[in-house]
Amino acid sequence: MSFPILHEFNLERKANIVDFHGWQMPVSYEGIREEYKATREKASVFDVSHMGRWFFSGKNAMAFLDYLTTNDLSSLKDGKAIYTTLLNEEGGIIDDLVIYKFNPERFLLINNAGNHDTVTEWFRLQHDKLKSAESTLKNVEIKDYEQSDKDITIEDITTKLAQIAVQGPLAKDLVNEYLGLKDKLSYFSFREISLNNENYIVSATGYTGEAGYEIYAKPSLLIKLVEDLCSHSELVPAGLGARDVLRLEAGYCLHGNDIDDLTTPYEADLDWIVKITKENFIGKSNCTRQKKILKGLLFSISEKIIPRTGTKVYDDEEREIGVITSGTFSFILGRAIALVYLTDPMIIKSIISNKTTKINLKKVSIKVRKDIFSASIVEPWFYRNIRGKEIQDLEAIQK
Amino acid sequence: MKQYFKTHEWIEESSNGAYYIGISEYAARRLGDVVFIEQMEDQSSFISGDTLMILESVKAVGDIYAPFACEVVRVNEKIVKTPEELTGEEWLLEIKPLDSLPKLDSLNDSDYEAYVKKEG
Repeated sequence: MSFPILHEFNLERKANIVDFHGWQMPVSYEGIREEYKATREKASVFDVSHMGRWFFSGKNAMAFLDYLTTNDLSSLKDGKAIYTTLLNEEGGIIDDLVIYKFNPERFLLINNAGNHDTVTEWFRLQHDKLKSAESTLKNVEIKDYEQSDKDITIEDITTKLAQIAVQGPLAKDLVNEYLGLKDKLSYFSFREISLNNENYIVSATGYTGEAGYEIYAKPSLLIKLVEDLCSHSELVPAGLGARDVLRLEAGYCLHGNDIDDLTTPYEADLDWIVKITKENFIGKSNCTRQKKILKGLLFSISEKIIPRTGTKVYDDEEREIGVITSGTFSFILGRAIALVYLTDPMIIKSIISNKTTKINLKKVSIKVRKDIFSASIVEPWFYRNIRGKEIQDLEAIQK
Repeated sequence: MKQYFKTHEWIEESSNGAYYIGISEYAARRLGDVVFIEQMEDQSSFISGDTLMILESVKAVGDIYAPFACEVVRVNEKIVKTPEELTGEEWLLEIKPLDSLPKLDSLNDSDYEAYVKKEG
């Protein structure tokens, strides 16, 4: 059993704690709705120390990571982070990652807590292949690979370097003031900061759809930061419950629910993080497969239902056309939302070729218990689509 | 006095042989933020174990089971309209037994508390 860095703090605050992939994580403190509201309107802090963290360093670190992952690290500027995926040979997503580039010889990589063992094994396997004389990587036409065996250091720093996320409209100001940062970092930028001889990495990333930072530092520093800011500012702690609603409104996939090792990035609406023109990367030849396509589902405001994972979706002729992988109640929309994979071959063909289909995708339905509920298929970026618009405009989005 | 069930409902006598039914504070806390309360509108009488009401929270679904054969005589409309305020203290339905009350497999306050602790 593992404990996130704020475990004592969570116990003191009587958080509702559950087991999450072996980690004792808070679902909520004062309530999912309040924590959600704080994140959208002010600022909240999430203990994300359960995520897996790695340093990759050395002369060939970049070439190796570019071979392991789908996005392009070589053209990424120093001081910038990217969202990317780690694929198996079949093009399925082993995990989705954020990688930070300090310089071409030093990277920080973040993976999901639930996949840490799998990812560790995968790194070991690929690194061993690289070192072995029988290396299959000899076929890889990336410079420096054959000499790279001694030039990569991979270090699991999950317990040494902790991580929190401070998210919301006030988040950057609060953290800037605390850490003495003068300017607000732009999206997916990061900076190393030294304060009282202690080191922090501050990055403008997150999983909520709000502006904010993720902060990396040794555990004691982050515990103190959270305690200080929660007692002297408007910052409130938030748990996994609010985080799930926030990420779904933002249309972000959760590995294990919406993406997995059988799903390709092209199926998951993640083709934008696959640089298919890259010379080579694991899974390249299979990752464009599309046997299903991810979309959003928006329910009528009057429907009293929250569609759960595994719920089947039907068209107006009651043909099964898809399955829900995540569903929740969207507080901002006041109705249920879900991510759905359309699996019907005709529909996929029509989406890919961008032609209209005979099947009316605007009127789909799900069956829960004995009742039928109708919904519309939309792009999965619920929050982005409505931010700045009046809720009444939703009906227009739905049409 | 409230009597609790292992399925986390409680009942308490109201008047005229009827009972209030609600869920325990423990269950309300575990369920988290309730966003909808669904009533079984097409059903007027229930047998023991039937679903009387469904509490849909952000993270989970909780059914309120009939502890005995009953009919619903009143619904707490206030809590149905503002489900987010559910704490477990308030009653959800007032139910009336259809037959003479059978012996109930219920727990008192402290036994329920011990049961919840054991259940973890």
